[in-house]
Amino acid sequence: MKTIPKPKLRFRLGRRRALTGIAYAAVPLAGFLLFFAVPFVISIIRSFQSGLTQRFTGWDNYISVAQSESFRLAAVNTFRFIVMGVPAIILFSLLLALALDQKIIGHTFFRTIFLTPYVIPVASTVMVFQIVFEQSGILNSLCLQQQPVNFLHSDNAFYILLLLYVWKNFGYNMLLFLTGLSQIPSEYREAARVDGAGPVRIFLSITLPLLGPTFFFVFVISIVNSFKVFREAYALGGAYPHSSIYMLQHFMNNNFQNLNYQRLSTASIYVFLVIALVVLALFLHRSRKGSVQL
Amino acid sequence: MSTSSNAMYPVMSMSKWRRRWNAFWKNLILCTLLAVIALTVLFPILFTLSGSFMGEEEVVRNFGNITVNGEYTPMHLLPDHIQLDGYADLFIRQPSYLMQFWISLGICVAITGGQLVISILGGYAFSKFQFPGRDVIFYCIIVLMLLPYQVTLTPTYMVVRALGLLNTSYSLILPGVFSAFGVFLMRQIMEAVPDSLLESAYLDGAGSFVTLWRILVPNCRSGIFTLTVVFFALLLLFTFISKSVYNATLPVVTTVRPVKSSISQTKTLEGEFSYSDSSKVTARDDWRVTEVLVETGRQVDEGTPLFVIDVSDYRVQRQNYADSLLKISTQLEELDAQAETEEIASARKLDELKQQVKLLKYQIRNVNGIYPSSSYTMVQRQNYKRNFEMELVKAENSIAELEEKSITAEDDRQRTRKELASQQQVIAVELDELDRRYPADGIVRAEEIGLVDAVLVEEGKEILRGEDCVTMHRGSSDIIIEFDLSVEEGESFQKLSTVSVEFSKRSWDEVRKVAVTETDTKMAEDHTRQMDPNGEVWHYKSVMKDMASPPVSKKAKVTIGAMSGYFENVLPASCVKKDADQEYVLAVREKDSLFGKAYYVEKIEVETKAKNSREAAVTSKDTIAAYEIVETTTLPVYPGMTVLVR
Repeated sequence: MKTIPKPKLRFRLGRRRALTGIAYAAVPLAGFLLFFAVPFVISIIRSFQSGLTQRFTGWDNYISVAQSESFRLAAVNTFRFIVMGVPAIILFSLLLALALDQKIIGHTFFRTIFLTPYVIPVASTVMVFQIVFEQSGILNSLCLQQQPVNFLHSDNAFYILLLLYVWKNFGYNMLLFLTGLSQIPSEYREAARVDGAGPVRIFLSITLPLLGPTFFFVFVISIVNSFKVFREAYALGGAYPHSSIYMLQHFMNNNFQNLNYQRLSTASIYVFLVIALVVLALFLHRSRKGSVQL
Repeated sequence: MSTSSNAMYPVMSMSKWRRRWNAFWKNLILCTLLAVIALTVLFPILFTLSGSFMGEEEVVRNFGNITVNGEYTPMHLLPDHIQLDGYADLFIRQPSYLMQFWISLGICVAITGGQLVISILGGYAFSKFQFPGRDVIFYCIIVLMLLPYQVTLTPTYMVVRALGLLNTSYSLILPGVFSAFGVFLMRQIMEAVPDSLLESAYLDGAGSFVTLWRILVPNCRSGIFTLTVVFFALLLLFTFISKSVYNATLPVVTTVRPVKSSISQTKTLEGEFSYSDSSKVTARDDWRVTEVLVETGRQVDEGTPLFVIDVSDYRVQRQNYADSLLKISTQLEELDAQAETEEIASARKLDELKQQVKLLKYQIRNVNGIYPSSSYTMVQRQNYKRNFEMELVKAENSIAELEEKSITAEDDRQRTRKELASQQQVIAVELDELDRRYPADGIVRAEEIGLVDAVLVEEGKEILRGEDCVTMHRGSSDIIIEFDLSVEEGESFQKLSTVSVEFSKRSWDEVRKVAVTETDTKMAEDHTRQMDPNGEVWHYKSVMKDMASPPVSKKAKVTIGAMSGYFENVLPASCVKKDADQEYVLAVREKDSLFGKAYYVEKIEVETKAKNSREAAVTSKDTIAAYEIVETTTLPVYPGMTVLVR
C-alpha cells in the first residue's frame, strides 16, 4: 500500500526495537521450533532410514516413493485439484465479496450464511453430498431417463470434490476479501468517481491493485484448504476412493495408518520442497514489486 | 466508458427519486441472486437439520435409498412427523456424549485462547518490528503451515512424550496453541494498521506492550474476532477428527464401513502351510476284526491298542512252522551224533593200521635179525621180506582209503547240515513275516503319538491286506504353526497380531454318522516370533490348543496383519463386550503402543439387518478384520464402544 505514510521506517528501525521484536517473537518461535521444526527434522531423518530396522538407506526411500504409482497418481490429482480449485474459489468468493460490499439489504445476514459451511462439521454434510450423488441418489432421480450413474465412483468424483471444496471454503475467502475491501479507503473510489471513472475502471485500477496483499493471503489460504479437502475426500470415498480423488493426503494417511513412516516422511519432503519453492517464488515476486511486504 | 456512464448516470444531475429507484433495483437483483446462492449453500445443512427431526424409519427411507423396486420414492425435505428421537438418543440414552462434548469444548477454549495470545504476539513481532532474519523465519512458518498434518503427527507425539505430557489435556493443547495460520493472519491484519498510530502512542511515552494492548488490539478487533471464530470452528472439527489419537477421552463420531473387496487398506499376507501330517494304520494281511478299541477323535500314544483281530488262523500256521523247525533241529542233532561215532571208528582203525605199518617197517628193516642167517636161508629171508613189504603196501593203501572215506563222509554230512540250516532259515523268515502280519496277541497298536481321524474297521468285518484301518494325524492336537514370512524393504511388519487358521472341522458329536465339514477361524495363542539375523525373514511359531474340535484338513491359512511398527506388546484380548440392544458389537484389544495405552479395533461383528439399500450387503453375520476398518489406528476406541456401520 503505497499510500501508507512513510514514518514507518523511522519507527520500525533501531537496535532496541529489534531486541523488543525478538522478545515478542520468542514465545511463538519456541513453540514452532518444538512442535513444527523439531518434528520436521525428525521426519527428514526418518526419510533416510528403513522403516523396520532404521538402517540408513540413502536415497532408497526417495526413489521408491517417486516410482510408486499411487504417489504419482496422488501428486497429479493434488496438482490438478489446486490448479482448478484455487482459481475457481478465488473468482467465486471475490464476486460474492464485491456483491456484498455494495451494502445491500441484509448483507450481514448473507455473510453469516455464506460462512456457515466453513463452520459446520464435515461429516454431517458429506452425507448429504453422498445422498445427492449416489447411484440411487437425488441427482439420478432428477434425470429419470438416463441410466443411473454412481457419480462418486466415476470421474465426476473429482468435480464433486471440487464443488465440496468451493462450497466449504468460499465463505471464508469471501470474508477475507470483504476485510480487504473495507480496508481500501473509500476516498480513493470517491475521487476516481469524481474524476469520471466507471465502476469497471474503478475495480480494475483501484480495487484490484489495492487488494494485492489480500490476494496473496487468500491464495495461500486456499492452497492450505485445498490440502485439507482430504477430509472431505476421505468422508466421501474412504481411504481408497475413486482414483480421480486419490490425493497426496490419502497416500500419506494410508502410509501413516500402515505405519510406513519412512514413506510418509519421504512423501512429505517432496511436498515440502514443492510448497517451499512455490511460496518462495511468491515471496520474491511480491518483494520485487516492493510496494507492500508480503 | 467514462463519458457514457457520465451521460447515463450524471451524478450531479440525478434526481433523488431516480437514484433511489436505481438503488432499489440494484438491491433487488443482487438480493435475489444472493438468496438463491444462499439457499443452495444452505441446502445440505437444512437437509441434515430436517433429518434430525425425523424418526428412524423416515430417515432410512429418506436418506437410505431413493429407489425401491425400481421406483423412485418421493423424497421429502420436511419430516412427516416431527420426532425428537435422535436428540433423546444422543442426550439421554448416551449421556457420555455430553461429557465428551464438554471435554472437547474445554480443550477448544483453551487452545483458542492460547492461539490468540500466540498469534497476537507473533503478529505484532513480525509486522511492527524489524530484526535480522525476520522474513526468513516468517517464510519458514508459512511453509510449515502448508505441510499436511500427518507429517508431523508422530514426531509431535514423540516430543509430547519427551515432555512427559502424555495422557494429559496439555498434550492436545500445547501443540495446538502454536498456530502458524494465526500468526500469519494476525500479521496480515496488523500490517494494515498504520504505523503513525503506534508512533504517536510511542511518542507519548507508551511502552511496546501498552502500544499493543491499547492501540493495536482495539484497532484489530474485527480481525481478532474473525480469527477467534475461525479458530474455534476449525478446532472443534480438528479435535474431533484428527488429533483425538492423543486422548482417548475425546468423542469420536465414527463411521466404520466394510471395505470393499477390491481395495484393501492393509497389507495382509497369506500363506499356506501344513500344520500336521497324516498317518494311517494299514492292514498287513487279510484281517478279521473282532473288536474295535478306539473311536474317532481319540488322542493315542505310542502302543495304544487300536483294535483286536482274529488270530486263530495265524496260530495254526505258526505251529506248523514251529513243528518243522523242531524236526530240522533233531535231524541236525542225529547227524552230529552219527558223524561222531563214524569218526571214532575210523580213527581207531587208522590207529591200528598205523601200528601195523610201524611194525611192518621195523620188520622189514630188521628182517635179518628176526630171521637170522643161521637158521634161514637167503631165499627164505627174501621171501619174508617181500611178504612184509606187500603187507606194508596193503596197510598203507588201506590207510589212504580210510582217510579218503572219512573225508567224503564229512563232506556229505556238511552238505546235509547246510541244507537243513537253509531250510531252518526259510522257515524262520516265514515265521517272522507271519509275526509281522499278525500281532502276536492279536491287538493292533498305534505306532506313534497321534490323533485318530477316522476308524475304518468294523467289528466282525474282514479287511483285505493293504486296506486302511485307522487314519490319524501325527502329533498332538496342538497345532504347531511354523511360518516364514519374508519382509521386503519398506514394509514394516513388526508384530504378528493375528493368526487365523482356517480349517475344516468335523462335528465330533456326530461322529460315524455324517462328517460335517465347515470352516472355522481360530485365534492362535502363544505365538512366538523370531527374526533372523539379517532381518529379512520372520519365523513365526504358533501353538493352537484346541482339544474339543481338532482340525482335520491338512492345510491352514495364516493371515498376518500389518499392525506393527510402533506397537510393542500385544496383550490378550481383555475387553470384548456385547451389547444386545445394538446392532454392531466391537471387540476391542488393548495394546501398549507408542500412543500410550491404546485400544484398537480387533474385529467387528456386523449383524446387518436386511436393508433395501444396494450399497449395504445383505448379510446375516459378517466379520471384518480390524485392518479393514476405517481409521483403526488413529481413532481411540474404548471397551464396548458401539460403532455405526453404514
